[in-house]
Amino acid sequence: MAIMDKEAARTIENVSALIEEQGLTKEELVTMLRQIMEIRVFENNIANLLSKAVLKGASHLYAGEEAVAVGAVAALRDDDLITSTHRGHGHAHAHGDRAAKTPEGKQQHYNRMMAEVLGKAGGYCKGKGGSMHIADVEHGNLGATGIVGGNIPVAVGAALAQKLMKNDRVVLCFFGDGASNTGNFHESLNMAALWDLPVVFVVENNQYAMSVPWKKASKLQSISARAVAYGIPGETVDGMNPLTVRGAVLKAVERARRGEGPSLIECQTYRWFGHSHSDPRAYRTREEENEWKQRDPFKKFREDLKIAGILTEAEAEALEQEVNRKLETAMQFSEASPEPGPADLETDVFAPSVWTKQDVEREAVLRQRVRTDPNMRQISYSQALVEAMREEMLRDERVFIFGEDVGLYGGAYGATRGLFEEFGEWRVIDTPISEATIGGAAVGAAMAGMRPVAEIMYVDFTPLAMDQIANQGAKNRYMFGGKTTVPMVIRTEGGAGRAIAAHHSQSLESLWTHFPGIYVVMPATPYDAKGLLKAAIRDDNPVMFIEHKMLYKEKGPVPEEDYVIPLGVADIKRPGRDVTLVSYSRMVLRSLEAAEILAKEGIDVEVIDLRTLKPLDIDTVIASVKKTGRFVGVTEAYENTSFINEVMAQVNELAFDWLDAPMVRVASANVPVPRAEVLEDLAIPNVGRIVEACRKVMS
Amino acid sequence: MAEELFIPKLGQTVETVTLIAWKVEDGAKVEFGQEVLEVETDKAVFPVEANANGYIHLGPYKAGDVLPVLTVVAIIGKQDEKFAVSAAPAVGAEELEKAATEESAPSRAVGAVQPSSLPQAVQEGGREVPFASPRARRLAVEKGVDVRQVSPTGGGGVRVVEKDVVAYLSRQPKATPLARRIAEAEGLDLSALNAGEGVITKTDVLGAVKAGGAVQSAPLPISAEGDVRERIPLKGVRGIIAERMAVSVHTTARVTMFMDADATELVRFRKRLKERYEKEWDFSPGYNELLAKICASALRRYPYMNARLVEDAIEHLAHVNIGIAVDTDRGLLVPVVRDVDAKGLRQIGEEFRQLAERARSGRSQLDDISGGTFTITNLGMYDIDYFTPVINLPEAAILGVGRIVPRPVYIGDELMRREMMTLSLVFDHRLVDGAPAARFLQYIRDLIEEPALLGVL
Repeated sequence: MAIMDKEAARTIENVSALIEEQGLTKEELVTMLRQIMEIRVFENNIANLLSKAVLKGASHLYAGEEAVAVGAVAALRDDDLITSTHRGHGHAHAHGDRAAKTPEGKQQHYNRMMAEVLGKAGGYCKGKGGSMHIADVEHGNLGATGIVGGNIPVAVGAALAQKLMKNDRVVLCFFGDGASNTGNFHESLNMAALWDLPVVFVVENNQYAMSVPWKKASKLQSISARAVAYGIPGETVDGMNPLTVRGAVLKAVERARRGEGPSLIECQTYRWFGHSHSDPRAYRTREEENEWKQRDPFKKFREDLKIAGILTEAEAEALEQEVNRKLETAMQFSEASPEPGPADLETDVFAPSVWTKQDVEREAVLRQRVRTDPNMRQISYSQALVEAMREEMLRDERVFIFGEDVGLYGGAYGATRGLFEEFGEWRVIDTPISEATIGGAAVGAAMAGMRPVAEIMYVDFTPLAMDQIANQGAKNRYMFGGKTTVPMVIRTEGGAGRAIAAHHSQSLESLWTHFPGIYVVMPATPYDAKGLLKAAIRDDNPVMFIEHKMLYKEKGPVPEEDYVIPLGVADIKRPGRDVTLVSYSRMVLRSLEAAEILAKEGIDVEVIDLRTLKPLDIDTVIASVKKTGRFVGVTEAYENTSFINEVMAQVNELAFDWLDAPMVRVASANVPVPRAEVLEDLAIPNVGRIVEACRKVMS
Repeated sequence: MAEELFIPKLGQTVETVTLIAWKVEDGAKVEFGQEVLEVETDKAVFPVEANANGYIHLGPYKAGDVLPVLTVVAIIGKQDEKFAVSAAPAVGAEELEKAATEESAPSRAVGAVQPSSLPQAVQEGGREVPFASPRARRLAVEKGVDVRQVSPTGGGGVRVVEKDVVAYLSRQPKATPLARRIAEAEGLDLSALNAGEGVITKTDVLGAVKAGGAVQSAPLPISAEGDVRERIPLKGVRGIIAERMAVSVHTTARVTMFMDADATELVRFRKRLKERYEKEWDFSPGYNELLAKICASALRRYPYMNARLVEDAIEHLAHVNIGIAVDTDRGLLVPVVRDVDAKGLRQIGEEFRQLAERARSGRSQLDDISGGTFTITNLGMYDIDYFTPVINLPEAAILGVGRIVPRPVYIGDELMRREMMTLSLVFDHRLVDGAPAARFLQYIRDLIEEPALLGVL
């Protein structure tokens, strides 16, 4: 009895001290307890549904860790932002409950979370995201990711947007101990620290990355100690107590808001359930579990508030009943909510096109003028790109450029030359060599309202950023039920011709066309480069804009006026009767050369430059095939699964009955691009091979 | 020398026929093309026509005998000749080979076979179809060209390409498409028709056909006795109908669905077609052909409806061949228009008109009424609204079409006069479930309501 009293006295002292220090009202404290309880019953309910096999899909339950999300979100201002993880129900609830301002609104939020986990149309993301992808971008929840560590660069980008927009919002980035060992963590903390970005990294150290304990995953036992490496504050706190979490996060948030940069806060916590439903938890002992459960915030915080005299038992019971009723209502809502209809399958992949029929017609007229006006000025492909970015930056202050060597150096191929001098270091930003975080920061900045143009120096390096651009950037709109847009451009360049071998010469566009939700643009001429880049910047979708290293010095006519080329319109670069030749990027020029040779043999080749692979203007291709009956596709990509194969498949589906000969493709050898010029020339399609292919379809 | 009259090979799968009745007396004088014998396959009753002018001497075969195809059943020659089979029987190479290995009937002994004596059907069936590019095939179908007649030059001489068909066409006598089709159906060589410098028309072809000898069908024999006022023997078309309907009803799991369709646009569409094309085409498409086209589109989209049940599997079929029920004096016949999905309305209409005409005049060929994959039966002209037709085995479904009649219908909040019809889809639940069948029917309904989409879908 004496011991209990002593303990109780200590609790009163501790709790009271924390409350006093943070100046918390009873209402705020009860809200925190209510949120903890609501997360817990939500998760227990899901565990129950999973065990009854009523619920399908993965669910990573937050039970046990409630104090972290509730405490951290309680330290935010209403207009601050968060990013979440696959174990994200707690973050989504703490944030959504705070964003909703009425009891009805709070119930609706709870309903929509439950419906989303159950894959119902009434969910936050119309049932398209589910447990791992709850988002509420409108209110500042930039969403949860299924990739461990996937949202750390996104949070950095959102914080960069705040800095560039010169407001004082802070981004709270949740992730786990497992994510602390990904490259994203290191790249992101470095970049955020470097630029003093307003982001607070909250590590939920629940001791295990799936089954592997932290001590088996890191030499350094404290995650927060890693902050030293990036020159930012780091702190480890008790993640089972919402008040200690709130206190630490509040300090970090205030620091960030003052413009002093990021902090790393490690919250020691524990998950009650396994990693997921299928996890037998063989890697931890029941004793260890019981020890942590003594500190269960669901019970302990309630007791603390009672002991501290904030809450009576009757109030606590009433609160519990209210929470249970709320859960019941949410389940009723979810069960009544319809399944998504088949028509929803293909909606929300892309943001609606900003291009009108008039834009398309205007461009067709302009193109004609470019082709026929002998007095039009001639500029290079790289000058055209510089002009495009300059004009868009003058037109829209949300547009900014960042990447490796884009600043003073002007880009590896001179495509940003002069912009640093004109716009300064905060609109043309040199980055560390961190491709993943360049890609992810572009996603986060775009979702937070900017229009980033990020440069990845070589397309060969884009796989380093693939998770960020493809898994987050391209999919977020769909996963989040169409409730976000990601208006970003990733500029990069590819192609062979400089004898720089297998890591600097590839044509990797089909890696990018494969993913839903991202456009792929590949201009062949200065005119196309300028108009398409301007359009890509104005488009509301992620765009992979792939230039060709051998084209930067090529000159061609470019109008001086402001113009855009709507995405998804191919250009017939040379009309012809006999063969439809479809190509893009540098191979268009070789195809045109081949067409001239064939013309002397009486073979009239129609050369179509796709200009944008996605959206693909298949109509122009089909109309041509219906006319000629013969198809040759030319690409610099590896023949194996190149994009031209997709075009051929579509021709087969849409115009089989018009084909008069088997389709033929000309593509690069299925070998890494070799250094020796003689081998490089053999690997890449040349004019002779294109001529041969056309003769073959004519035979 | 006398001409041997043999049982024609009526199709790839027909091995034997049952002799139903001789239509002429032994020793009678017959004319080329005259129907002399009636035989029955498992599918239908077929007339056998005299293949020469002269006196017919019947072989020792009577009603009920089951005969292998290509059996010589009579000779046609001089009045005083006697039935005898020559040393070289009119047996196809296939059958000869079979006889050699299986030691079948002694009358089918192996003998020296003159290639010229091989029946046409075998020659046709045995002839290889060359490779043709899709574009060339498309043009060939459009122009009614048999690609087997075209010399290939594509791919180094292995593939018929577009220009080969164009070259072939430029060498052919000029004829209207209708004339070409009639000639094809009648087995008439157009190049034998002398049309001078002009274009061969339907009239030219029909004239030539008539000159070749018209065929008259004999009425079915009728018997009556006792208190039966009239006795209709269960044989011929009637017998087959009786048997097949019973088999269908007893073996299929029939489910019928009814759906109303607003045919206002279809009526308008048909009217427009008539105004526009009747002169040029010599006819205008009826609802049957329009519905055939609509069903073909639906069958392509929902291949599970274009199916048949075999012993251990459901087979989705490659061709969309649509049977359209025709009421004839002899009973119900279902001529089949082939590959409806690949043909235009004009071609469908022309083919169906020929098929129906042949069916009504009792001159259907086996190919006319077999190979269907789906059937349409229309009783609208008798003011029937809906009904439950019997599935034409081995098909998976049949569409019953009711009359088109104005009814008040709510469009939004407004009551309007619309031309309404009811569709009755009977399908075999062994092959297809209710919901997929319903989707199929909905799609048909949608096209009826918006026939303009036919050209798009």
